[in-house]
Amino acid sequence: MYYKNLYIRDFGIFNNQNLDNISKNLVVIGGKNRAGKSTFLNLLRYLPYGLPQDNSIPPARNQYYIEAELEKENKSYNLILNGYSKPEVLDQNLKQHTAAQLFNHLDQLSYQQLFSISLDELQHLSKIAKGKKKEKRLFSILLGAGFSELTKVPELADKYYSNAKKIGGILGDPAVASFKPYYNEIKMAEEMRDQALLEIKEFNQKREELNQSQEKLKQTKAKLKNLEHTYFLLDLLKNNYSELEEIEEMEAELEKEAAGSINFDFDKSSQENNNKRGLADLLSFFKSKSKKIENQQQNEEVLKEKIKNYQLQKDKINNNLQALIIEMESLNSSWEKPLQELEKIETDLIQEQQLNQKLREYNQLTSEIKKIESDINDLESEIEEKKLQLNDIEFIMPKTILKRSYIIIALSVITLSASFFVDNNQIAYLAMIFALTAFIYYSSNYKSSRLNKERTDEIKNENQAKKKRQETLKEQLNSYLGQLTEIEADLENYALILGITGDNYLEFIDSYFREIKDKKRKYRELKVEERDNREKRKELEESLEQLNDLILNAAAYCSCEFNAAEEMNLLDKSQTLFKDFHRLVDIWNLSEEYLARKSQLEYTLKSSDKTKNALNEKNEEEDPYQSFISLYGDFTSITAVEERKKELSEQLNFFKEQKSSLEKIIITLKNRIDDLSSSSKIEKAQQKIDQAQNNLEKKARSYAVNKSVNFILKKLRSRMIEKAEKELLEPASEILSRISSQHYTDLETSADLDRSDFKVITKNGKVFNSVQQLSQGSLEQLFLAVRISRIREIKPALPLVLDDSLVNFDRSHLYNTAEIISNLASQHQIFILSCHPHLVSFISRITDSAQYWKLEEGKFKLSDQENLIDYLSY
Amino acid sequence: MAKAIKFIHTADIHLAKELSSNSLDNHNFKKIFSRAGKKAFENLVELAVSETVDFIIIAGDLYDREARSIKSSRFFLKQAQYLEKQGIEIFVISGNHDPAGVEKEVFELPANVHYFSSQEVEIFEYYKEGTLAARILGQSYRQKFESRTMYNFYTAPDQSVFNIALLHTALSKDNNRYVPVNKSELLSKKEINYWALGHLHQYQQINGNPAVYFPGTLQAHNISEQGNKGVILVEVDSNLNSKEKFIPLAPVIFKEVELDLETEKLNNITELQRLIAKKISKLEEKIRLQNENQKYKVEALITRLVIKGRTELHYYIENEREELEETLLEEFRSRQINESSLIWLHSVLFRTADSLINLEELKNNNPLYQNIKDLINEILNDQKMNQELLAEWGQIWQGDQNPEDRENYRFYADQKLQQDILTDAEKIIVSELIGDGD
Repeated sequence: MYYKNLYIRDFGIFNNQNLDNISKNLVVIGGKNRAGKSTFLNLLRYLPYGLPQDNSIPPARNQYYIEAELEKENKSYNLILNGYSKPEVLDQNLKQHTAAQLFNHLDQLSYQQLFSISLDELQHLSKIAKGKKKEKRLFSILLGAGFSELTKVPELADKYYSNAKKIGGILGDPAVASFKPYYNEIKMAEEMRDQALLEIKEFNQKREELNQSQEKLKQTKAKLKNLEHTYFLLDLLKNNYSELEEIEEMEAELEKEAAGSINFDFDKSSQENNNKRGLADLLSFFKSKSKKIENQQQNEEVLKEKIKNYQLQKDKINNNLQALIIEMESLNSSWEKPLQELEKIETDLIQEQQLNQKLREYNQLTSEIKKIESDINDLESEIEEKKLQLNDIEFIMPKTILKRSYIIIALSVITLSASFFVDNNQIAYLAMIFALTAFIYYSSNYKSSRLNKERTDEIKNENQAKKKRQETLKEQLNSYLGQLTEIEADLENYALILGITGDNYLEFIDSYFREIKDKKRKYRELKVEERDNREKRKELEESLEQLNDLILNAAAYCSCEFNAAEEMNLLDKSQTLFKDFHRLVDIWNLSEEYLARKSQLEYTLKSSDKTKNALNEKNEEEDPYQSFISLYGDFTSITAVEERKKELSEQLNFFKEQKSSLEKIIITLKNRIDDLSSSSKIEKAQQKIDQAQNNLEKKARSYAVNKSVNFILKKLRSRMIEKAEKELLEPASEILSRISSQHYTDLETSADLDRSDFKVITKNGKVFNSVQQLSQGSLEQLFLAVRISRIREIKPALPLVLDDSLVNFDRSHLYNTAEIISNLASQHQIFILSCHPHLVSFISRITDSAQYWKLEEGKFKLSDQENLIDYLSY
Repeated sequence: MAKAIKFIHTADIHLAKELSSNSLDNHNFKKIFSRAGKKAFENLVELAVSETVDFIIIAGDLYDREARSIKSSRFFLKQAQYLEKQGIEIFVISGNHDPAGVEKEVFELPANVHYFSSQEVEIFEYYKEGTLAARILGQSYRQKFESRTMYNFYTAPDQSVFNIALLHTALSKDNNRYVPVNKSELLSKKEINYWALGHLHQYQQINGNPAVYFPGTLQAHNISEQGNKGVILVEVDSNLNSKEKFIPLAPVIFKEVELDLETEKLNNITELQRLIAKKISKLEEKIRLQNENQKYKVEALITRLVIKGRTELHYYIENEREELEETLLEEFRSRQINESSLIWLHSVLFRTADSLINLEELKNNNPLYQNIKDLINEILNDQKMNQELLAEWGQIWQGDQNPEDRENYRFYADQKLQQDILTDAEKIIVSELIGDGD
């Protein structure tokens, strides 16, 4: 690429300057100081990139304006720089391009440093090694693209390395630095997860355990149920043991009572069976006859009573008959067979009333007579007595008594009157005593004397009346005696009929008659009674016969013998029968009790389901009672039962405990299984892992970014140094060798790139480890060599500007340099800005193809070598 | 003429494995996330019933090694029982996550579940209406790793019916851990009509005829498993021609969203927040639209927001990157509490860099940039360099390539991640070296 034409309308010192047909090889612009060489250098330096606004370039008169025609790969481009704006580039077809495209996208700094370095900048080269930043950059640029930035690399690399270290340590171990908390979180969560994963194993295990425990529980429960049943049965047995014992005893007794059927073999069991059969027969007999027996039993007392009554009646009748006989005999001792005599007497012939009338009349008369006779006698004696009484009565007359009393009163009055005169109290008193005596005497004697007188008079009157009455009674007595004789004749007739002999029959005929009559009635009655009694006996005999039948029937089933009484009197017979019957009833009662108690027990056993089941379980085929009996048979005594019960109770307790502990275990297992099957532990663990992992990943990324920066930077640096060594320094050392006339033979970068230094080796093998050890000239040679090497490397070629940069070279070296530049110019458009005529002269000697421009006060003029040398020489 | 059949091919279900939502808190989505795996499986069952398929084949990793729980076993049991009632068979091989699966089943499975032996290749014959309609060949993993090639023994007696082969493999000859076979080896087994593969979590058609497919996981579990997940519904006609169709079933999908700030003119973080909200609501709109057209709805989208590009905001971001990431995340999530959003923000990642005014120019002009670019390309492509870089990244990045074999505290850098990181690094370097104006 090269500038074909250049039009500078306004830039610093330049004003409407045209440079046309600029050589595409070497362009020498000669000018004295302040002619505008540096301005031109700046112009070319900024033209592709635009102008800086930092006063580093000379001001414009009006506005910066430059036009350039460029050719690149046979294509022409127009570049216009207007003011501070970026340059515009148009091709022939007015298509827009960028300057950067034309300038190989070379960065501004590199372009400036490599292609348009100024003298000033070169003069500071020695400072490079002293570590000034700006110079370091130059060094980098010289070494190649990006070397300026590369100097920052170690520092930067360190920065990112330490950033990374803070995040993840040196090795990026997940367990250190800022990774650590998340790492720990993950580890913890993993532990949790691993535990959770074991849950499946545990689940299976617990389930297995549960199955086993449940099976065991089932067995225990069955065992327990069995034991409980047995225990229950034993308890039942214990409570009913004595009862059973008694029942069994009764059974044995009954068996004994029962007549077993005839048994020929002596086998014990068949004997037993035999007994059983006998008992069963007996029982069934009782069953069929029980009503009868009961009736008999109920009737027994009645029957006995009847028999007793009968007997009593019989005795009574006999006694009565005897008594009658005796009475008869006493009534009439002449009778040998009184009862027959009695039967002969016809008592109907005598009218009892008539007899009685006669007897009454007789007696009346007799008593009337007697009475009258006694009355007469009584009257006689009374009269006598009265006479005596009259003689006995002596009495004082009442007149006499009255007289005596008057005398005494008179005495008293005298006395009293005497007292009036004689004033003496004692006389008064004496009068009073006289008066009182008179009163007492009168009252005690006068009355009795009057009564005595009246009585004597009365008695005399009575005696008179009694003598009269005595006379009437004697007359009445005579009439009665006549009537009496008549009645006595009738009565004598009657006595004859009645068989009474003797004179005094009158005394008893009536009672005799009644006696006979009475006896006859009695006798008749007895006879009736006797007949009745005989009827009764018949009945009784029938009853007894029935009883006898029953007993005879029973005898077939019983082993005991009954006294079949036939020819006995009723009583004896009945007694024998009853005795037998009682025995039978005893057996029956026994059997009844036996059956009742047995059935009570059976009922008890059957009525409780629990009992029934328990027994049924023991032996399904037998009925509960038989089972119970056989259970009973297992024990010799109640003590044995109790012992067994105790054993069972212990076993029961043991199994109960086992059951409850198993149940507990099962509950625990079930809970655990529930917990396990709904456990969300694993999800939680996963979430935790996820969370921590996400955080850790961020850190890891950050670590990776920092480490990558570090890595890339380190790589970049070594890569570029390598490249520089190979592509740049090798040709550069060749150039340097040529410039220095083979004084310096080798050029290397410093081992320590940070020092931004070169190592130079002379042909004698002398090694300069730093450019600081070189002279300014040598230094400039070195950098020129490096620069040219760099420039050669950049393709396509770009225009190069050299601003008196060769000023410190000695002549021979300058010549060598000019040669090299001329060679380079075959590929590059090179602007040499110089005020040194000898440089122009060297160039003219080396090449004919150079173009020469004179620059004078901002004005360009195409010139030639001689004119220019001349111009500069002066 | 064989019987026409219809079946579903699925794999890598990883039942009960949690979705990586980057949160321990309770939030609206928690339930959706924790149910997602089950929901996806229920969708699968629903699909099977509604499509009246003959059977379902599961090509390994029904369970997750690290999330094996009684709950998950019970869940599968219930589903299998339901399918049994519907007359749908299930053929399962166990993969590296659930080797010798049937022995580890907690519950006794119903008769419609057929587990393949881990000892040898088994052939199950599927009879439809009394006639042989398909053969299913398969072999389970014996252990976590399976170096047997297995495919050799996948030999069907004839081609009279549709032969389906179940194989859990990474389909890589170099991978000795997960049945080292390659495609051509599979294709060499001429009697097989359909290779039902499992292990890779991304749906892939490996070959058309005979069909070789990876259905991908049924429900993605982390941000590295992006996009729709589902099953392959296969219809086979009486001429044994098959037609495969991918059906998305996962209720939750993962997606990384990039937000490039390069072209945005943002002055402060608030503007950035607005931009994020806009971006997310757009995304949400898209999902709602998608939901309208599909039976199995997306209930949530877990997204990682990567904010990148050179931006003026980098000045604010640079020093408080992590705090800012956290703040933005929290702020966004807290806003969601009140909204019936479909988007759950998994994380915010800043990968921004300083804005450079003359970046393009610098890039163009500075040969160093080219050098850096070349170097990065070289690092990415040159194996030795690549290894060197990864060594620099330290132990934390030495995780196994296979996520299933990777420790939780280590990571693996795939090509894309390396590129991302190097891009970040490049930006930093460019800023530091070239962009430095002095």
